[in-house]
Amino acid sequence: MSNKAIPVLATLSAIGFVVTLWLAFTFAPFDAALLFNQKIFYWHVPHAFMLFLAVAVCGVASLVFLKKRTPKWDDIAMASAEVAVLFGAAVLITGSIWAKAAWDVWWTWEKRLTMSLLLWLTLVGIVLVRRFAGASADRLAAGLAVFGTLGIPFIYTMVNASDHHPQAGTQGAALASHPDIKLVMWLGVLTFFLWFLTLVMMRVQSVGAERELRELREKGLDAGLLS
Amino acid sequence: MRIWITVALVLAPAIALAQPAGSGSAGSAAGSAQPPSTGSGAPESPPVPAPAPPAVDPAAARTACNAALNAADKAGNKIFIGDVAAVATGATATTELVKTAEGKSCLAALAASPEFQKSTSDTARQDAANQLAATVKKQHEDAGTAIAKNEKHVILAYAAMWLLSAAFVLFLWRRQQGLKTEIAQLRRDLEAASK
Repeated sequence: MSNKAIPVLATLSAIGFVVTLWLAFTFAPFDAALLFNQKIFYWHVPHAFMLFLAVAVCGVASLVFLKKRTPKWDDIAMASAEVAVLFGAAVLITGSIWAKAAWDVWWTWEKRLTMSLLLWLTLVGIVLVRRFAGASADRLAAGLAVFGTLGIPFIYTMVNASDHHPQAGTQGAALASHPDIKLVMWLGVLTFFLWFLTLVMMRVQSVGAERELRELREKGLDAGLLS
Repeated sequence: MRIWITVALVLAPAIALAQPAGSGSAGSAAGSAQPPSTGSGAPESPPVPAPAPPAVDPAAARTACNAALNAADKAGNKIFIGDVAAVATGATATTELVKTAEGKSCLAALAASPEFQKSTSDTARQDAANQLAATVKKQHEDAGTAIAKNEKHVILAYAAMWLLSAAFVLFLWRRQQGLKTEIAQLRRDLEAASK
């Protein structure tokens, strides 16, 4: 299923990228408050949404893996963690660029930004543990993933306690109040959801191939072909 | 002889007192008396009147200065206008204006007519204020335009997202290709070993 689904999803994502970019710069109205910098919003926010989704998928898959010990869930958790690292890096970098444009600072130790950085570092930790922790790496990484998932509600609630970041409450509502802005933003979210699925499937395939390679190596060792 | 000396001593002061003040005739050898009003040793001469300054027609000087200022404005000679403004506002007294006929006419007009000096001063101050306001406004407009059309950061942000995604996909693709190659090789080796 994945072999056929990945190209289709990748193609749809590519179309979505072009359409959302075109709409963001030609169709969506100019925001009088945030000015031209607001155009970053159309990809920055979907990246943040997909970061949360990837972390949630990683946490749930890890929880199921810890309970059932089925490798399939471990593969999904690992793939989601790596994709979450990608989306997290994109959110932090684009957010930093936006901060420079809007506040004239690359970074500020504001609550939401700091929590987002901590979540991203936890995700990097999961990937590193999974790769280097040896035999029990899968369970260690799964436990860390469940712990990391708990960060999402904290980051989300930081929205209302945030100092500078555009708020999801009053300011956020104002930010995305125009129907055309909302339309382009949700189209971006849909596009990046398809992209998220594409990347997770590709990564699950890759993890499956790694497992197959490990099994073949074990066979080779048993057969005395490998030393 | 003694009689003549006595007569001379008696008559000399009387003669001296009888003379009008400042006539200068008291310088006789026998201790001439000084006129009490002067108090100095030199006799006073009547004061010499200072040469009268050339008469300035304020209206003519003003007309000439205005003409010179207009000409300088048209020619873009801000130095001349600035010198006149500096003198008019009292910012400086030393000026290059004395070196030219136009400058002299302006100096004369400013000196001769306090009204002209005030109006010139007011105009100079108003021009300076207008220029400052225009500069500040332009700076604000430039900053506003720079923020409103901040293409640099937007391009940077989108480029970063594209690059991250592209790098991740490339990384996945290369790893997948490596795994496929290694799996195929191991399979071939295992099959060969089992035969």
